[in-house]
Amino acid sequence: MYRYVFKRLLFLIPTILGVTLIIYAVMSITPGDPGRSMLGTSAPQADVDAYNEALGYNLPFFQKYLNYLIKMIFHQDFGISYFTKLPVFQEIWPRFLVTIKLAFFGIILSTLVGVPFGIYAAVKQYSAFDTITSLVAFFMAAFPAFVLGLMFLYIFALKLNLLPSYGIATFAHYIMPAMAISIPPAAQNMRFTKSSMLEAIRQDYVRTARAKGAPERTVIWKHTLRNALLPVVTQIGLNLGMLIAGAVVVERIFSIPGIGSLIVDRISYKDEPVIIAGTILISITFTIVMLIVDILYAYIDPRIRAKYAKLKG
Amino acid sequence: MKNNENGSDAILYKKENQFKEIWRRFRKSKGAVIGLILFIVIAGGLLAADLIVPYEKAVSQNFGARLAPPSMEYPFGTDGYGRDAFARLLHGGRTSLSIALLATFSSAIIGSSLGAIAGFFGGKVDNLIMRSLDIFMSVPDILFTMAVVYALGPSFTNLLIALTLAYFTNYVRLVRSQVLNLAEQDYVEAARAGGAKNARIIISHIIPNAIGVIIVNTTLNVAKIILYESTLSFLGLGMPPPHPEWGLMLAEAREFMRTAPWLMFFPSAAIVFTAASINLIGDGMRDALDPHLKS
Amino acid sequence: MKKTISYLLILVMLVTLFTGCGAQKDPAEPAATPGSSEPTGDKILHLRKTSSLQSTDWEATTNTTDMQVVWVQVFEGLYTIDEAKGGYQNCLAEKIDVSEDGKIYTVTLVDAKFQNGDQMKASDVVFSYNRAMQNSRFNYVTSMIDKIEAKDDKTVVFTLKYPYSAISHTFWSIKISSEREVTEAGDSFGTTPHTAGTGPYYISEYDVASGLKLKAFEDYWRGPANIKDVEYRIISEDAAAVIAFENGELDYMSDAPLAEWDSLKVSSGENNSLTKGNNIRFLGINYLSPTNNNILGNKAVREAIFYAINRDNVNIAATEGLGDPAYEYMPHEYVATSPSYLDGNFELYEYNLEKAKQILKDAGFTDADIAAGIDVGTLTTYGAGTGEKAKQAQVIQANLAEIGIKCEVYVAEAAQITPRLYSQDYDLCIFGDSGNYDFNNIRQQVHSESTGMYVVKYADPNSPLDYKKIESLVDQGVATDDVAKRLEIYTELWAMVMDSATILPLVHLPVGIVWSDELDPGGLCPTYYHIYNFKWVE
Repeated sequence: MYRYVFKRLLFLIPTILGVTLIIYAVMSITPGDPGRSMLGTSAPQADVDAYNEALGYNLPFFQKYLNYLIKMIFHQDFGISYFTKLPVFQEIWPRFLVTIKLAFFGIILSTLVGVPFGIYAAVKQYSAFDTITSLVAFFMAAFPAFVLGLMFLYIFALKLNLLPSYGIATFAHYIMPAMAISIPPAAQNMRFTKSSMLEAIRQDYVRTARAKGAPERTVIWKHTLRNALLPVVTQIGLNLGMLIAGAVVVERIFSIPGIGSLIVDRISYKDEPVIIAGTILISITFTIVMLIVDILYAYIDPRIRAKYAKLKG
Repeated sequence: MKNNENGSDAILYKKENQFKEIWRRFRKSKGAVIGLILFIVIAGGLLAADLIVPYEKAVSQNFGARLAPPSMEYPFGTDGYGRDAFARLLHGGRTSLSIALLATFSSAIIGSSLGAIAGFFGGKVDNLIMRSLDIFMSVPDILFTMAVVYALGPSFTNLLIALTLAYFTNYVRLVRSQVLNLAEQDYVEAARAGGAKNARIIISHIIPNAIGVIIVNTTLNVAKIILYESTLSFLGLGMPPPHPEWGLMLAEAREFMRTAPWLMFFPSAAIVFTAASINLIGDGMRDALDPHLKS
Repeated sequence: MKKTISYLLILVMLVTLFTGCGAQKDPAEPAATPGSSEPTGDKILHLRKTSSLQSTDWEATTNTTDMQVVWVQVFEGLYTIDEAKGGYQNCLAEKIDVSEDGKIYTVTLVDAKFQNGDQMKASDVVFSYNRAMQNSRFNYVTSMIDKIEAKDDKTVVFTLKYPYSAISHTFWSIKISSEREVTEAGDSFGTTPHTAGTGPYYISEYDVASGLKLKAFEDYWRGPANIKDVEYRIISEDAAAVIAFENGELDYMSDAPLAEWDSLKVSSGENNSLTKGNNIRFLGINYLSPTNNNILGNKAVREAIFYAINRDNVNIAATEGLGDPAYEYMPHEYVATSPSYLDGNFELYEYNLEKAKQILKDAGFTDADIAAGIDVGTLTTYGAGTGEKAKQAQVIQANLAEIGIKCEVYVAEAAQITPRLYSQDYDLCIFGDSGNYDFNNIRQQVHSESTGMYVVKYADPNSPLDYKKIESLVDQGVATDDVAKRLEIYTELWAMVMDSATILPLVHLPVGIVWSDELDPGGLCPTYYHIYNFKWVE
């Protein structure tokens, strides 16, 4: 097991390098001109050239990438923002924490809502409850977060005046955005939990337990749930991608100073250091969460553990 | 299910039967049928958009009838330029849906081929493909598409490229695992023993047998891409104006949230219903293709 | 063993998440709960900002919303702009004496302190000007300065290369900062709160995530401000800002969302004002564009385009009809040296479809050409895809379609588009100009020395106008002191520009301001409001 964890941790390194490379490469497609961006449109060309030269902007791509990587890893130096002239890390970090907090609320909400509903719908398969929740979940999964965000803004802030419409000053400020980003993944969790439960219910040992006359409650709680929830753990990890996608737009609608709204904002200023660093930071977080989920999964699931042990000989 | 026959007639016959069986099972699911009907109505409306209301009406401005509420003349009202919101919705849906379909199609082809190659050849090729895939999948879709559109500039083709790059990864894993299962089947072994070339084996034996999973996934992906595409155009990374597009219509409508809320309502409903109907179909298809879940 | 790993992992996950939450709590704490009203004594003034502040250094702020804070409340120049009282006024300059030949300006400074407690001296002024002159962004307001010297602690002498009557704009644009503090801070100046200005407020909190707060400077040279604490709330979404204002979470909002103006007018009672802004949008045509065999080099096509534009519709789309169609380079009501369109001295290109069609016909375009659509390339503009310029572009695109001219619309971020406009890499474009109170500002649009600022390049062998004449008129105008004479020169100049059919004024953007019952905003300024003049209503 330790070897598995170690191997996975080791694989984190090439993944992070690869992610950085992809993002850096994609962003290098645009003909950028950092000197022009920093010095303004009326600056003489000579100054601009000198600036780019000093920055190492005219170096070959891989050398530039390598320099970026070295600075990033050994000095947490993501460069200087073209827009604010602040060190990028200083700009990104506080906003990153805001986004993580929002995503955290999102995960909690989507799990707390999605999983129980899914379990209940599976237990009461073909009941009215099942039909209605499944249908609702279908439609909820089809809502993009920004539509929900706009809807909530219209209903709760404009019409009912119940919730604050911008910022992060209090807990109440997080309610609307967290709801907006967590409803689609909650719907997905529900559907996923339901089908996972159904599958578990059909397993032989559940039948055996039933045949032996164990009470239904015990069957569900003791035999089904544990197995059914295994795949759900992975699903919750995958939700993070959806939550981040939602956060990018929803942060903007609710004026939340998170990393998503920062990236969207800075796209209009061509502030590449911030866009690159923000994307890399989120991707690394995403990778690490997936890793934790994988390890947890491997740890909980006896089958995978056994399989892995066998493979390793 | 095993399939030992090699004669093409037999396969054809068997396929026909299979389709009938799948269709029978698909029909049994109420949700799937509702989804299908809904989708046929939406897609039919979009296809016949030119017959229902000419494109001209979607872009021609009429400042005399600006921000008009829904009426007989303008079923969904008019926007800030006095353009017919109904016409914009229909013609905008064509753009959104065609981007979604094209992006799904191209990502399915690229992803499936890579998956088939990885699964079929195994070893180093497999390792290389799968490891690079892990990296690709570590960048959240939305950020990846945003970065690509930002880098290339917003246009129909670039949106297509961005969405394809973000979504082909789904297929690689899927098809690879299918291929790994199938490659051990007898008929593939037989074909191999018969001296068939690798490419031929992939194309004539493996892909057709993996197609079921691919189709289900493709369907669900169309819905996802519609959502992402509308998000991008909401953020201003979609098609250039004045081409209507659902996400853009919403972005334009939000400043009139108070004065003309219906401008927000219809595009939202269009996005949700389209995506939901496609999801329903995909779900029904999965159940139909994978009968052990249902019975 | 295995359990330990899983506990460890869960612990790591929770710790990362909760430190995230914990760390964020602190900056959020002091924020007032929405809707609650504080006692009037040390009530905080709440204003809206659409995005976080770019920099606390006045030289590094480029957005108007940032300049509204840094250029007015925190720093001051020798002059200030008070739009309520019509233009430039003395500020840190107590008086300015001009020599006979108009080349030597002797400035006597007021007795002012920096927010750090240091006395403002002539050397600080010299330092600030020298610093700005090294920044190419300010070339357009400093290029005429030959040298600046401190005569004594209270007197600064400017020597100009040539007489320059538009110097007021320079005196307003260049802010005075504390030499000691700026030098000590070095490269990091602008990235943190500082006390290097002489303005009535200093920045007490500047945190990218939590926002921006100002505090009154008690030793301000005109006396301390009435309102002691100011907080800017970052609200990017217009709808949210309107809700915030209606809930009493904002005390003053300039640039109020125009789509919501009707409801804002109701909710603000009497406390609203809509002013004709000094901010004009123009259509520029690049007559040098190679598109479609240099079709835009054809003056008839350009004229037809101008006559086809319905400014009223442009105005409705861009400003909900609250703005004014524009015919001038600057509003003549605000700028004494600006030629008025009412005098009939230059072409206005009023909307006239028939005339536009006739011009095309006379120029040899057949009905078949028009039916097929005459391709003039792309209409480029910048800003948000749903922004005011993008809206104008869409209206103009539809207008041109009426006379059989077709163009694509391309909208992208300013950072991407403006360099293209300044290097004449476009066909048609919509751009903004002004916010200035001297007609000499036109130098940046027409003079060949303003490379990197003009949208249409006139100094070219194919120029549609006598560019040497234009440049000499610019030089003449700025060398003249007499307002009437300057007006005459600028009338001739503007008539030439309009005759070339290359730049067309489209619309004056209005500025909507709303404020709460508890606030008395003093004289209203459309752009550069002075919080110093604000008072709470007793």
